[in-house]
Amino acid sequence: MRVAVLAPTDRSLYSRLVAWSLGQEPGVQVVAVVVRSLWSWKRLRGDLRREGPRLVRKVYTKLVLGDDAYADHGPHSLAARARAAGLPGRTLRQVARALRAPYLVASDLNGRRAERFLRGARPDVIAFTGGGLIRGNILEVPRVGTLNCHSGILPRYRGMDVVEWALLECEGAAPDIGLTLHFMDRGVDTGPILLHHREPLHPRDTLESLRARLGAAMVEVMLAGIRGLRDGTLSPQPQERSAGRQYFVMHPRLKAASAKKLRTCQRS
Amino acid sequence: MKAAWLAPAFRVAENLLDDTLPVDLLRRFLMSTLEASLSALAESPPGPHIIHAPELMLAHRLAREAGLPLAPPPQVEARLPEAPGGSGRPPGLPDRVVTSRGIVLGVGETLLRSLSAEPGGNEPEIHAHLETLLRYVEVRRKAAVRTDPLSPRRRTWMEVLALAVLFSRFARWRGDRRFLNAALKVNDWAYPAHRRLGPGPPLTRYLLALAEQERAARELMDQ
Repeated sequence: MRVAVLAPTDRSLYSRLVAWSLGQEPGVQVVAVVVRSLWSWKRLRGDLRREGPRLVRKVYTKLVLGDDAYADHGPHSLAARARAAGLPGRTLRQVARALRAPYLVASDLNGRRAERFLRGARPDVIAFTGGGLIRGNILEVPRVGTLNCHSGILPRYRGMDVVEWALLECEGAAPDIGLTLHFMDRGVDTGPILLHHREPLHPRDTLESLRARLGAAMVEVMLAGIRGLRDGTLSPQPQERSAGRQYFVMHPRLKAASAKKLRTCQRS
Repeated sequence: MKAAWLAPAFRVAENLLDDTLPVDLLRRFLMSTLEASLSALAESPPGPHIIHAPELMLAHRLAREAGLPLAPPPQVEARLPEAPGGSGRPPGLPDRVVTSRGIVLGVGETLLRSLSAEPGGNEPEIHAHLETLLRYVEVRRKAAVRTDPLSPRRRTWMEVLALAVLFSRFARWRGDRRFLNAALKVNDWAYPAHRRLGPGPPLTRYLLALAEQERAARELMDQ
């Protein structure tokens, strides 16, 4: 199976681990790696509008701290998995070189340059590991589709901050928290679903530890999806549009209520 | 951890960009401004200039229902003009809600009347319309509530705050916290433009939006 990887930055640990792990997988070849350029006015404007002040924290965590940001997240963290997998280097460029995969930095993942590069690679599947919205011209490139691992259980929880929303909305029952691997389409988290991974709460979980565990599980879920497609053991199930809701960036006041709800859910 | 010394600088940058407001600050503002506005109302002679009085009284009632420690309102009912829509009904809101490039989004009064007639009403068209408004505000953020330079600023903020009121009410009626989420953001964005206003319709509208928000928060967030 020919897989291309799209990534938000050259240093994304999740992207590097996905690319490297796919490269070790029998019957899978990483045929292209495309990274979105950081230094673009259009990107900065778009990210700032979408994320607001959270962008500052993201920049600090992902770019300034890099892999060190995951150092304290324990044995099930992305960092621990990276060590166990023997992930080389600290950039996707280095991973691509180790895998002998063609590598491109593009200012726009949907732009003509990225599109030409991807079409030349003839991927069966694109593994999307972040970097903004993907438009129709890129979605049409892979023979099978473009896979995304969403941090929420679809179709119910589409959009942003869905871990926090699932916590806030759980009424007595255990919150429905987990991941969904799905094909991307033109909607927001509306594409056909390949598989779900549900994550139970641990007694000492904080929002941070929960997100860290989900982040590490995303690699396994992406790999499981690609293996399933390779082996023909997984088939996509379409979503009913009306079955879920779109959620948005959570106001800090609701976020505080969500963290409080986490403690209630842990006690019950 | 290398580069951890940069953390304070990033925190400062994050705070500078953060346009959310502490809940205590908004509640203090709501209480003190409501009391001041109602006192001013009680002392002023009757006349067309107190057209916003029903909205102010409603804001006060909602704020008390939200658990804010407010004294009972001064006696102003006997001096008020007839409230539109009959007693017990929320005051009317303008029909135009948030314009962008001349596009009219939503019909406030009609929507509100439909929702009021059957709280939590099930008309799919109304829900779809409110979802569109929600997505518009959430995706475009502050750009969605940018004041129209061709209109007098007061009227545009009145429309934006009508939207915040609608969101808070719909959140309560449907138990849908996403709408409260949007109302919280809109009201935070509106604070700088309203915090120094004197008594009058624009300030009253903002107080109503805050009171509706607090009422919804009490119900939906156990606060």
